[in-house]
Amino acid sequence: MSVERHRLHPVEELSAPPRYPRWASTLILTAGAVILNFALPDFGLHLLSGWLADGILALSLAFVWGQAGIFSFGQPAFFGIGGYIYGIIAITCADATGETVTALIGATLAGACFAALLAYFMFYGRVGEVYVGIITLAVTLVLYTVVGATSAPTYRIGEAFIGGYNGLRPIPGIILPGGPDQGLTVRELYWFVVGAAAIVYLISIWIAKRPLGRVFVGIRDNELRAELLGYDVRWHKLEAFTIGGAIAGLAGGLFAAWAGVVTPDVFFLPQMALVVIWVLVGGRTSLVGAFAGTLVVQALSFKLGGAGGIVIGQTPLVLGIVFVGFVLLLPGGLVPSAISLWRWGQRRLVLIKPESMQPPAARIDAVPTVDKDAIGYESSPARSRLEVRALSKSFGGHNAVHEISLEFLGPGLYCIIGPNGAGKSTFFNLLLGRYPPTDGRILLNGQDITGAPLHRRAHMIGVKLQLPTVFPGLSVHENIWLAAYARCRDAGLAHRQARGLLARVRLLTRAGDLAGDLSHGEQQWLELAIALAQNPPIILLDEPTAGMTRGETLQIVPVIQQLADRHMVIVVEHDMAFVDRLNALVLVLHQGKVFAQGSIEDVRRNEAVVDIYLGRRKHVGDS
Amino acid sequence: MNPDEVVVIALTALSSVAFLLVTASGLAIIFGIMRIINMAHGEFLMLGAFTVVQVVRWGLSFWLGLVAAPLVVGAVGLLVERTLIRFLYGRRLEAILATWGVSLIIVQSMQDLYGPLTEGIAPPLGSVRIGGFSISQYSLVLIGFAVVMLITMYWIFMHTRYGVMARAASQLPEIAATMGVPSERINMLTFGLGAAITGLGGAMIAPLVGVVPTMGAGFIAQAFMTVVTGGPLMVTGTLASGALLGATNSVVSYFATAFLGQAALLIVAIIALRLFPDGISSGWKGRV
Repeated sequence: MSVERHRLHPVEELSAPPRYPRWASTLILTAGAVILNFALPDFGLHLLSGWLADGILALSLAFVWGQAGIFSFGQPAFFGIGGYIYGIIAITCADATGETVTALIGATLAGACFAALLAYFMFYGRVGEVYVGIITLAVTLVLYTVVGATSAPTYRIGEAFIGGYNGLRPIPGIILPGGPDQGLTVRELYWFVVGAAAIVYLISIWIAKRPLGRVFVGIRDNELRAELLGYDVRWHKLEAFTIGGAIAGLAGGLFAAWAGVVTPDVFFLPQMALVVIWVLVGGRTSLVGAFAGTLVVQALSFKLGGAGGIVIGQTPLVLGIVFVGFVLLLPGGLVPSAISLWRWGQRRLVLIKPESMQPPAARIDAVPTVDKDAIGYESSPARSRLEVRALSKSFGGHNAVHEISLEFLGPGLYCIIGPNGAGKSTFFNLLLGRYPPTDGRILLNGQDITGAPLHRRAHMIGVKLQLPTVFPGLSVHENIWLAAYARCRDAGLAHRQARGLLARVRLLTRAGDLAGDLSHGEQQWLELAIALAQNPPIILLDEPTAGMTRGETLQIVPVIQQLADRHMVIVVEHDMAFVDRLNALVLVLHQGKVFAQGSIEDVRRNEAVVDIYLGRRKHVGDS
Repeated sequence: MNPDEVVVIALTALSSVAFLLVTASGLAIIFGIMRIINMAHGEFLMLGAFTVVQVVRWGLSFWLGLVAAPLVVGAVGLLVERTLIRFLYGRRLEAILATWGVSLIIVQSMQDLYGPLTEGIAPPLGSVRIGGFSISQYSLVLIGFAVVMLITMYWIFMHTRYGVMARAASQLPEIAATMGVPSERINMLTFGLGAAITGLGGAMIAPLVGVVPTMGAGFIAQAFMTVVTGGPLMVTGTLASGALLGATNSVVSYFATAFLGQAALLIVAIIALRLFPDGISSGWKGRV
């Protein structure tokens, strides 16, 4: 341990990916906005204001898609609803109140509410990724039909006639409280929209940097793992989707104020296609890319497809080609590609010594001592009691687990073995909550957790699955941080704990690397660190040595034994050499039942156990 | 409500179900086997309808158009698969976006070729009277078409070499490949077949709708919902969800307005998906 310490880098530096200076983009954008104010005539500024409102709409998609991993066709729906709500409130109330800012707030809230409602149905129904796309698409198209069918004068809310396909009009522009009644001039509106865009952009950046933003990214990267850490994935997706809906609603309100009219076309396919193209061109993972993509595409289609352009009336054709071209050739989008090009150039020219040139972390040659303060353990080992009563699980008539009753006491080390098909994995998944049992109960410290969802159990039960399930797109440090944060909900403390654990599993020098770049064995260590970071009273390890070398297998034995001093550790394992060394209480499962239990020596001496491993049947019965 | 009206409502509902089935089946094949959402589905329907328009313009029979449409659109499907889709297997989202690009390109090209105006095709058959009501014979024929189409699909996927391989490849691609299933060819054929059946569906509905380059957009929401609600079994599942959604749509449309019928279709679909997130046929014992 101390041998390694002297060449440790501060984790903060390693875990943060190299960035261009943050103030640079802000400065450039502000300067750009000022220059454009003087360079463009009123008409140009007017166009630009509209495109900026579009940019906010694109930002809403970049947020839900790029940050939270939810692909939605529904942003135009929230945008359109925002537009209509702004129009209805502004037409009805502007005369009385002398302002339309409330209408803008109403638009934002309406977008958020509708998004939340839709999100509830989709995410709490656990609808799959592609289905989310289709449902949002269908909902938006139905809004198009529904709003289009409101041309009769009876369809009227407040003073506003919805107007069917002719649209809602005339909508007052932005009127500030105490400002002139006729609303903002073109130039003032430009600055108003610039301000709104800047605020929305900064808020989304802020959210992305907050713990919540990292949780979103974690869910995007590996939903199951996020859930196993204790994050309520459904709720967090709803949060992200609602934030996206609010942003789109605000954009819709600004657009309505800018255009003076909203028609059902905002809900139609061309609009949906445009939003996706803006984000695709800008780069879905980049929030500033949303604006860049919007401005590039809108300016190009205005130049090329408008009067005097070279492809008059052929805008859809050009957009289609852009779509296909970006998907095939530049799927990352302009801004992220430009950033990586810039970094590449920087590395080549400035000759920064990249971290990957350092020698790989030395493998463990002694049992690491636990830095208890850094890891933040409670002073006393957590006592826990896990009871399983007559637990059964059958799959279509096959009893994978049949009326198992057991009691595990923690801290302590248990090892579950058994031949293939003995029910080990099923039992494991029942404890974990991934399968609902057919019958029986699971009690944790006397409390019935049989029906508790994954994320609720996660606070008590940590897990390392057989195949490493880490967040491949997050750094090693961020992986552990997410696990620690799930428990303590304190970003700073989680950071310190993650650092301590990194040292403990010998991954400090790889803290800044993406987890997806680790070797299989290293990912196993990382996953162990993730389970530790949760610091649960119970830790389940499913074949912890799978994919490890013999040497690594031997190294992990003392680590697990040390864990068992403070936790209840239940290991499911195939590798008998490994089980031999663990010195645990061994439970042999066979045909869904507990066949034998005792120390490894007892079990080894048990003829019947030897028989079931070898496939002889004389002690086993006739099945 | 007199007996005639009941019969008419039943027939209308049936033809509405048939309409949904012929417009969704091709999508169900492509989605069911390849897990690709074909955003150009509406445009494949439109191309099928335009094939009929062109054949009729040449003074040939409508029925000949029905034969030509699957060939033409099947060829377009093969072309799209070879030039685009095959680079995007396993990247579902990218496939959605790319086919969307294709749809934009097809719409604009057809507008350049045929103009934005609606082409009408006279229904090739007259109408029959049931009591005080008259119902077009062609919509009855459409019911027959839908039945034949589903039986053919069932036969293809249960009894042909291609069908068995395609199902194998869609369930366990790696295992199927190690057993000698040529997944590349299967995917190509599946996309072509899906496109051909979509084209045929577009041709079948051509006399019932206005044929215009932008018509595809009007069908995709329903078609997608039918396929998604149907779930993993692409013939029986699609049939079940088509029956559920089509009947809902037509009954609500009959008693209220067409627009409420559309809304009811969507609401029923969303409720069905809330209850069966993987579609209503998930967990059924059948094979296709």
